[in-house]
Amino acid sequence: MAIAVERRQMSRRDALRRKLFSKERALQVALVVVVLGVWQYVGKKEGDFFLAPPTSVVGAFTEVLSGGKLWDAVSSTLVGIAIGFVLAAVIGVAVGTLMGTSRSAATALNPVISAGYVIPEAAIVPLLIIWFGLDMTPRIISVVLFAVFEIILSTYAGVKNVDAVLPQVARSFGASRAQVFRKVTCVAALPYIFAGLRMGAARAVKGMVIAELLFAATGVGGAIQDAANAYQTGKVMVYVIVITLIGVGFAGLMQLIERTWLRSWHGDHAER
Amino acid sequence: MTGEHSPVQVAVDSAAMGSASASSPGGVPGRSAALPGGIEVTGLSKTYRRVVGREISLTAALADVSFTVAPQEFVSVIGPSGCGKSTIMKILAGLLDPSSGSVKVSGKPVEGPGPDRGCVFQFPGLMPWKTVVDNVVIALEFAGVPKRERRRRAEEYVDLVGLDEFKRHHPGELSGGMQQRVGIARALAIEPVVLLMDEPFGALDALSRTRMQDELLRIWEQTKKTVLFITHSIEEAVVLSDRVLVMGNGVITADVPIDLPRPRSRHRLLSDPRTLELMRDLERLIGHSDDHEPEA
Repeated sequence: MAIAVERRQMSRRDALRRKLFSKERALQVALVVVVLGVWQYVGKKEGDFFLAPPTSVVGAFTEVLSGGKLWDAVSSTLVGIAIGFVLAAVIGVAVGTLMGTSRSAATALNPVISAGYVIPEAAIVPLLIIWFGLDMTPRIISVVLFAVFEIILSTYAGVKNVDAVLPQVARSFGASRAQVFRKVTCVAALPYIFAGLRMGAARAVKGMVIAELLFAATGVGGAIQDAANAYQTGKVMVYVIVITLIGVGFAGLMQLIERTWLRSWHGDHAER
Repeated sequence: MTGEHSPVQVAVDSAAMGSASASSPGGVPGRSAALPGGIEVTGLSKTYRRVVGREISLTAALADVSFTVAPQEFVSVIGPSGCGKSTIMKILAGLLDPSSGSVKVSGKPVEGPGPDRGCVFQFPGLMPWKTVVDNVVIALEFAGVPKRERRRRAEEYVDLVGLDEFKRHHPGELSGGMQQRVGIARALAIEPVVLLMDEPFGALDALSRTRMQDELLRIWEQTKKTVLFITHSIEEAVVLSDRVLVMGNGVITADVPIDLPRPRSRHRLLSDPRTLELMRDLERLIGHSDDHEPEA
């Protein structure tokens, strides 16, 4: 039998150095520099009107910030994404779990879910405007539509693919159906569920911005539309970067929640 | 259970003649299968129904199987894969309902899983998100053991299987043999009277396998549970058991007492001519049962 190996903590400084200076890290930085360089070169050559180079974007950014409208736009966008995503997560996990545990539910729901997954949601947004007008409701529905199918399908796959031995073992020890479901199936499916939530989070941001673009009046999407109509490519870039940051921040938040929830999944050896 | 070797094995030869069912009283005379820890299987049949396209196929996994296991007896069931061994185990565990026949443990009919039976499966089925000790703790929770007692008992049995240094490890960090030790600790921790083991070492490499056999002998001699052990290894069956049931195509074709002295160690047994003789006999019996394959 193997002998228990020693567990040792790396010093904080060593850990930081390993994180900051590695070959992969250097390549990452180099790639960003190259992209920025090409962008700058093309932008300078073609002019601000066609493609604002990074240096002009910095200027546009301060301009947008001092304009004072940025925060209004961002907060309205964020609220919509948050409400829509939470709804999508609740609906998605519930429906996905139902499909994973009941064969008849899976058979009944599969065609609808598959269709919903392939429909380009952007095509439905104009309908939402016709039905619900221009306030927050249609935007939230757009976010839900964009995110929910991804979450349903991942949860479904996760619950269905739980190693069949685990529920059987639990049952052999006398676990009730509720115990098997709560303590075995649901926990075993968590990695899939979180993968779905992370993809759903990214799609929620897209759903919000596309709704706003088509509304042409509100939020960050609306601001992009305004800037593009005025041929202010620098400002468009600023808003695109803002959206990207929202998306990355949102996905990062999900990852953080995932990491705390799945701590034991990843083998955390903290003594309790 | 005696130390002497009988020169002639009557049971082996009579079984080889083709007696289809076996109901020998077992290797421990005078101990009834109706006492705590005893197993009685009577006329057990199981038919699986499967629908493929328009075809409904019925497969008999077990056809009128009867046998008894005395309290504290170690009995192996051996046979080629697909002969119905695992079905017996699942029915005894209460995970599967029989088509007909009765199954009793400690004289009481089996109705679903219960803490009087501890199961060890070929794939240990440990929860990858729980530590070694917590895997045992949650099994105790399922078995209805009071909360304050769970952790102490889990640690006790993890120690018993020799994993004291790995209590806080996760299954993914353990070798296959060590994972199966956790599986055994978990089954023992609910303190059952009967241990049901379905090819527990079947997925291990040859070296871990022999080591686990020695380990199981040690644990069994310490805890003295009734064991029903399913395997497809003749050597394993002979080394471990008091009695070996040979199965083929859903019926028991022979019941062979293993009259080797205890306490045993693999090492000593393998240099004993009696061991080799028993292994040869069993090999012959299994080959024999294979010849009876029905035309499908």
